[in-house]
Amino acid sequence: MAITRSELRSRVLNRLDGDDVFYSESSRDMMIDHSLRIVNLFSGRMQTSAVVPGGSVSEQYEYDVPAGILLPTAVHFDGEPLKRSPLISHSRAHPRWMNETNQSTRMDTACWIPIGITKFGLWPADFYGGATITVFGIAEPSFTGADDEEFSIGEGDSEAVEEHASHILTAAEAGKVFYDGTVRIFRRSYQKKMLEIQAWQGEIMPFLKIELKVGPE
Amino acid sequence: MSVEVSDVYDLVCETLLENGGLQLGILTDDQFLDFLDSVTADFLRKTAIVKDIFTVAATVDVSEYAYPAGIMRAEAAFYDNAYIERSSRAMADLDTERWPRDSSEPETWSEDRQDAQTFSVSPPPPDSGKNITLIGIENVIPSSLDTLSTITEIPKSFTFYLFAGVMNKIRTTDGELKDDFQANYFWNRYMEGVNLAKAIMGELSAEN
Repeated sequence: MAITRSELRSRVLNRLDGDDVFYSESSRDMMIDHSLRIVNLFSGRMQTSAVVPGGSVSEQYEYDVPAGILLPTAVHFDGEPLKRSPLISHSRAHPRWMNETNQSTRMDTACWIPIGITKFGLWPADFYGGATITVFGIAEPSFTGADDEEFSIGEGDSEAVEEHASHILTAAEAGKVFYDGTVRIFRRSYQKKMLEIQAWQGEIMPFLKIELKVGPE
Repeated sequence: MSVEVSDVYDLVCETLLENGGLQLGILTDDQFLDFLDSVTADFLRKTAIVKDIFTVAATVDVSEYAYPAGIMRAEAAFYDNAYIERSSRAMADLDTERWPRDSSEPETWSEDRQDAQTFSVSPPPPDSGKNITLIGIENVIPSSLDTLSTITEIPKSFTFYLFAGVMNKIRTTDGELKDDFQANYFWNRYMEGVNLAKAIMGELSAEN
């Protein structure tokens, strides 16, 4: 499903009593963009791939994740998928991996080693250089701001975007008004949606889990 | 795309009803930048999403070294490009009481019993000219942060969570903007971002 920016703007406005003076179009756009990014962070739905500029360099083990990728999830070396190997366990298994190349190990490049979300290592390093390294992963969204800009997101994601954008716009009202008006609804509705769409393991919203166990306020 | 300070600034101004820039004098640009600096450093330390590779020249018989500029916390160490395990000085003492004096190829590194700017390798290296390589959290905050700066390496998608951290600081500071409800709310949203980034890093660090 695709939804246009102008449609998202009006849906957000509908949740704000249609007050387009207090909640201007530029304010709504700003919050829509950040909300789209947050929903994508949780769901990982926007995927892309990019090639490392210049390809592999002879005997170099360390590379930057190419622009446009927020989180690398897979790496291909000359079209062949590599195995992901976490830094510490890989270093224990192959203590001299930083020095090892195809030539010294007599092995094809077999693993990629994540170093944070912005860098990765290859093992063994390419001895010859010039290979194509393709990184797949979750895309960092970019927006044009045009009225007819389309977002390919599901209905559930779209509701989460609308809810988050409208909710955070009301933070400008501050204090108890903000808390009573939206925070309670937000916790039950938006955060539940995010728990449903999240692609990651782990306790991202421990406060919500506690509240859900206790029951509605 | 990286976090633009102006994006965080615009979100703060929008929320404080000071569209177009902080003009009322209740919160100044300098205060905003101080808060952002502190929140960003905390976010980097807690999440470890931005890492880099650093090197320190090893010196014969020297076990203590200053961390190189730009590293916030080391997570892995290599001597002469060979992995050495993290340990503690207490463990080194148990292994051999003579470790600070007997030099040999380092086998472990540690951070305890010294100031935060120093780490040590054990045993101390037998010769100079080799490198100690550290992989650790990189401090990517510009030294002269202003509203036109870019915080490279932190993806733009985390902008909202840095804003939430800054709003927590604004709402907990004594003065006209103090607001317990919002302070609590924004703290929870900031921690949501921290936990989200940690969950993402956890997936990358997990075995297949």
